[in-house]
Amino acid sequence: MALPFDRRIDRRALLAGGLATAAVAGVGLTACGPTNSGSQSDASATGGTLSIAMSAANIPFPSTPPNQGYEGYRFVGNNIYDALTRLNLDQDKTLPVPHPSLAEKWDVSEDLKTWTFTLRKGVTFHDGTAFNADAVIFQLDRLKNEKFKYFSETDAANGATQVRYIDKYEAVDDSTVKITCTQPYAWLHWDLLHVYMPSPAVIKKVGNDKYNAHATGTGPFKMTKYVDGETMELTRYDKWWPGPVKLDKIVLYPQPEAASRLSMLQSGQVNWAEVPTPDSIDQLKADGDQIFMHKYPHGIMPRFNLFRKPFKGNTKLRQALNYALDRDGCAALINNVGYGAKQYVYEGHPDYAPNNPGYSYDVAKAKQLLSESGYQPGELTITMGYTTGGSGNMFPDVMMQKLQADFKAIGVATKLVPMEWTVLISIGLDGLNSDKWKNLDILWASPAAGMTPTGYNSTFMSKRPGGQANATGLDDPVIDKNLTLAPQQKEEKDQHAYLQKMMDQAVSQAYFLFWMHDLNLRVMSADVKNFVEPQSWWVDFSKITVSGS
Amino acid sequence: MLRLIIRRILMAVPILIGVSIIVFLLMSVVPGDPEAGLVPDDATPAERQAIRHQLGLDQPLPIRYFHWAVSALHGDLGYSTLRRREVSDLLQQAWGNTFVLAAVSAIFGIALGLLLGYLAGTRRGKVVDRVVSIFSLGGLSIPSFFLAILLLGVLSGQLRLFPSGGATFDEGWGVAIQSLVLPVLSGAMITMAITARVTRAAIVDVFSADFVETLRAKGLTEFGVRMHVLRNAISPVLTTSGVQIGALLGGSVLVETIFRWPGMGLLLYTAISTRDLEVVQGTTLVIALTFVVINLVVDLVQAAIDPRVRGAVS
Repeated sequence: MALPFDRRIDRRALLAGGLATAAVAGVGLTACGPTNSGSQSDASATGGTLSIAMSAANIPFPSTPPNQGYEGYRFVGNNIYDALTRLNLDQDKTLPVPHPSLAEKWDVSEDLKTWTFTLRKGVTFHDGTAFNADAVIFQLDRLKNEKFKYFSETDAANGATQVRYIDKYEAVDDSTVKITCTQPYAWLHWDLLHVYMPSPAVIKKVGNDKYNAHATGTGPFKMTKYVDGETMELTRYDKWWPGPVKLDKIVLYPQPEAASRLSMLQSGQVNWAEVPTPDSIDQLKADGDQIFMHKYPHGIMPRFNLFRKPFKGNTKLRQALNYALDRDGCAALINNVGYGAKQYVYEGHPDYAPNNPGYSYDVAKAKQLLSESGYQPGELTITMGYTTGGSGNMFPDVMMQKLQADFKAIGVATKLVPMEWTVLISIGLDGLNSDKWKNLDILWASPAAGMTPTGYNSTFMSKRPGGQANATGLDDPVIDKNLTLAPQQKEEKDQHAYLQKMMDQAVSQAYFLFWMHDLNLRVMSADVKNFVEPQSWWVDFSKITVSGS
Repeated sequence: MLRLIIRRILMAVPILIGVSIIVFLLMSVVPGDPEAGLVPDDATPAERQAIRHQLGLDQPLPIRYFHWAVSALHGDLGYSTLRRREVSDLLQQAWGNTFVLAAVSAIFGIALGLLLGYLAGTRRGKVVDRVVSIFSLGGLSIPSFFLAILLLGVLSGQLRLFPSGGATFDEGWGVAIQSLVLPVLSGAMITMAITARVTRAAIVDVFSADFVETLRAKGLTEFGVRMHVLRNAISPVLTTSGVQIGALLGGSVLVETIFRWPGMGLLLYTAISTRDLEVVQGTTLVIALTFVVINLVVDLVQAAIDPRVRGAVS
């Protein structure tokens, strides 16, 4: 029975999709890049409307970059916009890597400092204006050139990480852009995944302040409705350069409460819900819903305060706590929607150190190492700060209680300090040596561990570009050396070899609590077809259909 | 009456100033930096400083408050860099949504509470009285968020009778009314319970007054007596209702979050958790103003229908 609020059957969407299909039926598909080769949509198909309950508290801004972390990139950024590069998210076998997108190819100089991008021709923004080299320079100026008329302070601040290694940039001709890096840097194409290209014409017309209401890119979907705090509607862009996607629409709803997301799915309001409560999995399966779980670069890897005792210079103590963790027990508590971590990245990741088994659950060994570290059972009380929620933090409360019990079993008391996600970010920016936070011994961390190689810098390097705070005091010359050399290698296998050595050192020295890997739990109703869950925080929407629409 | 209005308006000024100062101080001492949501987690000190300068956070606290207060006096509640919108725009949208939810919840809760309280008060000690007492005690005891999750799971998730929330006025009134049912039930329960208990207590109290016997001795019908009783009992009910309406208009954080209702409560919750200072300041100011106005209206209504209150004012 179709209830009045049941959005799964939307005749207007069907009609609109049909009209749109008719409009493009006679138009040949544009050239397809390697990322999407073989994935061209059948323009005669009506793929339906996909409604999604996100775990974010608000609709991510459709700015460049969006906010709300990788959830903003996943649902909003990658759908409205293209960047020069795009991950191959249409497969689940390997870690997605950058492929050509708005840049159809690139050349890197021998010294790895100069990148020359050849841009795809014939691409148009949703407003009908042409994408070209000027549009790339316009966006880079918005992010890096403070004297530029359309420089965006907020986008520049939010997107600073992704343009940090860019020194100079110029348009060689209408379809060629040359970017010079501040140092030999083989990972620029990873950074540029995040640098979306908005329409310069729209920004010139409405300005940066009002741009969000008029967000315009070249991506697979046009933003056709945006109500801050309530909903966003994305409608298929029929002139997307690889060819139109199958879905007619995506409708996004923010809902930070897991129980509410579950009800939205069960009531038929949405057909995709992010991170339902783990204990609902059996019921959802019984209802015929599809449960998706897959390894991806995300873990809970708390960081030790290495600025001072007890963890500074005390490898055995750090190892003892790693051996004390009952990871399988923790996984069972959360209905196995995560699994125990051996290293910072998951097994099978290209940066996984092949010959390091990590830390098993071994209470006797943990007690022995604790004793050898200079502490007897009952002597040590540690203070750990953790976030109580926030997108991408798994299930902190139940996990922390388990951790507390595990440490207690070897005679280490743990004082838990719950905090909001904003506070945790602030601590990362200030550092555990600041007066405000120096009482914390361990800090919760939920990194996108290994999604991009560029992400390692802020966690592993002792000295970071621009003087970023070294949040935990990690200062290891072996790690510094390998992480410095990795982006100076032209061949990917050589880059991974250095990063594997870095991982090996981090595990051996137990600089983190290698705790849990997330399995990216999400649920969809049975009518959602052709979804592939990649090894990534981002997903590909180009092949998905909703059969009941 | 005019004196009452002027006096209450003048009293509101220090209340609003006090609220804004307290909130400003509180937000400056809670941990977590306002720029944390605007910069990447590997931001350099220079990048942090640039955004702090843009937000005005590099100014001393009194100067920041002064600037905010002067702007607010001119009707400008500032700009939310985090939301990239004028605060007044955000408040207008959120207050409108909360107003609809609060109005329907108040009408439902107060009307039902009055009816139940009247029935219980006029049938003291009987079955109806006991049932109403248990019902209202239950309404007071069940936390609104628990009731909300319960209703959501059963009526929306399992039985699919109502949507799980969201202010969907743009999809037509039919959908909007359906969307209202569960948040109204959750939000109105406490209002109903309090109103029922206060009404019952007031009616029982007035029924024991000497003038009721006098009315009966004069030969007034029982219906006429009850109307007199109700009029005399209404004053505490009005006061309580005023507080309840004020609370509902302030927005229920939990109910609005669970039902994805984009009102004042959800706006304030999001703003506090993201340290969006301008929005927190603006929201609390409007909530405080709402309470002041509601209380003023309640006082005026009380004075209009109760000569004792009118006499006290004059």
